Amino acid sequence: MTKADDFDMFYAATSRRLVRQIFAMTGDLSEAEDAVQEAYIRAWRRWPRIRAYEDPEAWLRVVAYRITVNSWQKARNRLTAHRAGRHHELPGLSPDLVALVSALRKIPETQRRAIVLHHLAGLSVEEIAHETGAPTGTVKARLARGRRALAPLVSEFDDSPQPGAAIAAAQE
Amino acid sequence: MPETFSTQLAGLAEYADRNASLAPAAALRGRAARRTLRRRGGAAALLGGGALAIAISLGVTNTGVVMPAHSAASSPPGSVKSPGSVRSPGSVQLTSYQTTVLAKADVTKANLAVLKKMRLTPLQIKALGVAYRTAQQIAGAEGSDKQLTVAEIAAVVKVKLTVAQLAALGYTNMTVAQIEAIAKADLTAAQLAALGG
Repeated sequence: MTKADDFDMFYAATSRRLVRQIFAMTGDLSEAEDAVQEAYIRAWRRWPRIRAYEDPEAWLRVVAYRITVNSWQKARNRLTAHRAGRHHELPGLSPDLVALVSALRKIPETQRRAIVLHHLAGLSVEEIAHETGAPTGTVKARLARGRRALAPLVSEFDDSPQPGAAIAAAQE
Repeated sequence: MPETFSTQLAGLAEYADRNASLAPAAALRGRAARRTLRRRGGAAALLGGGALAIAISLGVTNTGVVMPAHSAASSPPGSVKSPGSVRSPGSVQLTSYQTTVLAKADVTKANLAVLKKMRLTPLQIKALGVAYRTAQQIAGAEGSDKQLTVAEIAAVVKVKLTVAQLAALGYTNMTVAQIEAIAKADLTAAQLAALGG
C-alpha cells in the first residue's frame, strides 16, 4: 500500500467522525469542515510521522480544534460587536437540537470540549486529560460544570454531579 | 426531556453527516503539495531581491565562491533552477537561490525559519553564512574577485560535518575510514584547514 493509499483510507475512515465532533464543539458545520480538512492537509505533509503515532486521529482532532480556536481568536473583535445576535444557519435541524447547539455555545470552550470528547467521542476522563493537556481533576470539574450548565436541557444531567467530579470541582 | 444527552449529541452527529461536504482525500493531498511549492517559491522570492541587492552593493555576487555541494543538493526542486541565475566571466555560477542563502548569512529568527523551510539544516545555514562572510572579507581585502577553494571554505566552518558533507567539500581523496573519522571528530577550523581539501 502506498503512502497516499494509506492516507486516503485513513481519511475515509475518520474524517466524518472528526467533523461530527468538531461540529459539536463549535456549533458551526462549515467551520468544522474547514478545520478538519485543514488538519488533514497538515497531516499529509508529515504523514509518515503522524501515522506512526499511537492515535493519529487524536492528533488530527487536536489540530482541527486548535484551528477553530485560532479562527475564533482572530474573529473575536469582529464577533464582539454582534455576538448577541449571531446566528449560525442550521437548516434542517430539529428545534430540540437547535436548542442544544445554542446551549453548548453558551458554556465555556473548555467545558464544551470536555463534554463532546466524553459524550460523543467516547473518551475517558484520562484520555481527555491526555488530549487536552489538563489534569484529570480539571477534566472532571469541567465535565461536572458543563453538565450542570446543560442540565435544564438534558434530563439525565438533573441529578447531582458524580462524586469524583464534585470533589475535583471543590478542589479547584 | 426524554432523550439522553448522548442521543441528542448523536442527533447532531447525524446532522453533520447529512450536511457535511468534504473534499476527496486526493484533493487535500493536492492542496498540501501546492502549498508546499508555493511556500518554497515564495520564500525564495522573498529573499531573492534583498540578497541580490546586498551582493551587488558588496561587489561579491560572483566572486567565485564554490558552494559546498551539499547545500545545492539539499535545496528544493524548483528553486535552484530559478531563472535568476547570474554568471560573470571566470567565476563559478551561483544560482539566485544560492546567492540568496549566502546573502542571508546574518540570519534573523525570521530568516532562519524561512531557511528551515527550504530544508537547510542549521549546520548548512551556518556553513553558508561563514563561507559568505569569508568571501566578503577576501573580496574586500584584495579588491578583486577571489575564488575560494573548497578547502578555504571548509577551513572556516567550525561545525561537525557529516561524511557526505565532507565528501562534498572535496575531501574525496581520502579513504572512507578517514572521512568517517573526520566526521566524528568535530574538528576546529584550524584542524580542517590543516587537513586541506
